[in-house]
Amino acid sequence: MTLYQQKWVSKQETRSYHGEEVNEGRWQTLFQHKLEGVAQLDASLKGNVPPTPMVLQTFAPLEKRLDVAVFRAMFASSVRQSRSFILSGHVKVNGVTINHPGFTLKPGDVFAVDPERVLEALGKRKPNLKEAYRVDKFQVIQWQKFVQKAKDDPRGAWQKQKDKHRKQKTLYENKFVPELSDKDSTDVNERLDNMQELKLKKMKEVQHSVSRKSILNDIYRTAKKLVDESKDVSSSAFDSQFGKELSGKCFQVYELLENENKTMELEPEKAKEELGKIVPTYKEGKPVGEFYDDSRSKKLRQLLSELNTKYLDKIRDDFTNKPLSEDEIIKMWSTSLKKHSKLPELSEATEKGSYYLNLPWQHGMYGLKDASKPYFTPWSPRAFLSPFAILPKHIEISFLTCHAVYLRDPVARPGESEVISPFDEDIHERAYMYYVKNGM
Amino acid sequence: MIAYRSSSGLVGQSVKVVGGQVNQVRYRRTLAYPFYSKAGNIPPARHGRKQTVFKRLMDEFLGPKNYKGEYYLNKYTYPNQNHSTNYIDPSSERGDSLLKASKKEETGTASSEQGVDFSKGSEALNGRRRKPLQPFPMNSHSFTNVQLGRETKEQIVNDVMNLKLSSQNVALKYGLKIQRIEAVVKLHEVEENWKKSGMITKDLQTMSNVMYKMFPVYDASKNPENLTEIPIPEQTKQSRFITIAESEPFGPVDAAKEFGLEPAAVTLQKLSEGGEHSSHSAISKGEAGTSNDKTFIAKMHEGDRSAFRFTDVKVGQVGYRYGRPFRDNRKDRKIGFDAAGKMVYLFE
Repeated sequence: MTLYQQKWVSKQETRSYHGEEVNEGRWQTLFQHKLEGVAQLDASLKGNVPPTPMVLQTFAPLEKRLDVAVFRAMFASSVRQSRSFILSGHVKVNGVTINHPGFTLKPGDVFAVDPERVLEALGKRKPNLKEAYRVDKFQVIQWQKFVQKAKDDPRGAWQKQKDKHRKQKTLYENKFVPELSDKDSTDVNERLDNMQELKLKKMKEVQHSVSRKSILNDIYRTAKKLVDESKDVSSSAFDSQFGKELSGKCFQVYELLENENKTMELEPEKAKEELGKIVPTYKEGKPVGEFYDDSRSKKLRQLLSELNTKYLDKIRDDFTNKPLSEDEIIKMWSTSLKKHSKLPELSEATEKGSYYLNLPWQHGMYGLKDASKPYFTPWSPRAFLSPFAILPKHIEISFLTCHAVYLRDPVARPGESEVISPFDEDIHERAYMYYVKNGM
Repeated sequence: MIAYRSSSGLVGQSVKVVGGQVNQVRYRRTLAYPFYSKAGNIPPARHGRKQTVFKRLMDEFLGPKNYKGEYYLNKYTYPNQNHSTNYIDPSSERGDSLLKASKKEETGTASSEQGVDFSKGSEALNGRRRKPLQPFPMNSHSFTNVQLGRETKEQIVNDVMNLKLSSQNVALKYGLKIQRIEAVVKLHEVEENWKKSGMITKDLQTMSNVMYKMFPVYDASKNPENLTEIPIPEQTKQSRFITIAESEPFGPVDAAKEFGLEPAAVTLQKLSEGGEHSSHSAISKGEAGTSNDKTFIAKMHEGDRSAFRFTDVKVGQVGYRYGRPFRDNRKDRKIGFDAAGKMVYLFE
């Protein structure tokens, strides 16, 4: 290749990246043959300072342009897009809307882009209804299958899910994957923590349901079952519900019922009536209806009161001390899973403009949770965002407000150039030679 | 991508060198096959389709798609969230860009938690030297910036706004340039206003968090900015020749005298004087509004319908001189913008 060919090709290559949207004539008025660099005063102290790649500053004048700066600040995904943002009036410089992509920024200028545009540029593409429907249809079908499997074989499904989660966790460690939320976690400990509140609620519920009457009924039911099977009733019969400490008291209650009242031999309905008479319902502190007031019933009532307080304590202890076993968790998990209602036909959905969707990992249509927004909602980053995301050194950015400050024109310093370019010195050098046109 | 011929010396590391061409052709362009695509190394076509080598290589690079159309196994699809960069490095991965759970260490990204130095200096990895801050594999002179951590920003704002330290002092304290300090303060103000007026949506917050965790965080002890930088003086950008006796000593000081340069310390001092929060600033000293541009509104007389304002301007900055060539139909005239953002043609 002749030198001119090299210069020409280098110019072609660099210009297709640097200011591709700027006409050649316009660019040549911007080009400055004196390049901006900085000297470091402490260089002599450091020693062994790398040379300054001055030729990489060839396209530095373009970086002053508003469209390029908006792109460099990552408020647009390409210079073409940033131009379109500027031309549509979404960009402000120092609070003034600027409609010219070629606006020259000065050091200290604050530029801002409409946040919706930035979210659009950095976010995933918003799907149309048909695309969203296709994805959701697939998701719903898979979900129904999964729920069916979990109902049929809870342990197997749980195990499979657990393996999958573990695999994903290691695979996507330190990555932002929007669907991988902790809500659907199969980590037992994590689930337990989440269930603490649920447990307390359940405990309250159980405690509220316990009364003297319910205890008496429970004792009667347990004993009756054994009597019907013509087995002997002993204190150990009450162990499973009331525990070892309280079973003796329960047996006393049973004996009183059995020996003096012959309640056990009565028909179940009559026995219920009888029990109601022993422990009547109270209204405004006074018993309602007929009730026994003899010493035996009083003793029974006293016993039951003691039982009640101790049984409530026992329930509390059980709930706080005994952790849920994995089996229980799996059972709760599999029963909590619910199939999704059937999606309407696509034609119906398009006519209505939306459809109902609520999956554990996605509430609302795929990417169209808020269909009025120009970007994928809820926002998630564009694919392949990170390999192309480069923080410029001459712009300070605030992503939270989509504002940025143009600090200074980019400069070259020993070992680096602030002009972001995929091409290295050799190509820039020839491109520079093409433009200086001084017989170099 | 286009490959240059080897003779030009322009061949980059990822560009395949093609042998000399004898024939005269209009375009000396050859297809740039990646260096790792050797004969036995080309992946098979998908589903037995007819596919070009480029398509096969691209498919291999992207990996499989899921039902949402995401390349879910590609390591560049989802952004890193551990304050580390995720730049493509073809020389190490050779087209194999899929996530592997077992080989985490080989991804070549370095996180600040692991205490890796993010300075431009290269870091040995698998016997190969790479720079985590270098976004383009072919340009070894371009580096991404590191962002300021949230705490650092808050400290800076506190130092400037509450403790009333001058921006020079704060710059020295954190090893950051004065302009950056001023910018942080300015942007913080905007953020506060937005928070107060409830303009920060949930999506905006998510986006900001993702972007924050995507870049390494600035650490003054590891890679401070160089505060002794001065622009290379304009005069020294071209050669100047003087005749001196062979025996006469000639050093940098003599050269500076010859160019008429001021000492660098003075330049540095001048550079640090700008900015709203600088110790030299008129506003911080309470001397606001003492500019010496003469503007006055002339006294109105009886019967006058308008008041006239007179502003001092330099000859040449306004209007144009009679007889001076003024080609207003020229292509690509110089442009400027007025305070309202309206484009105006500048006088050349």
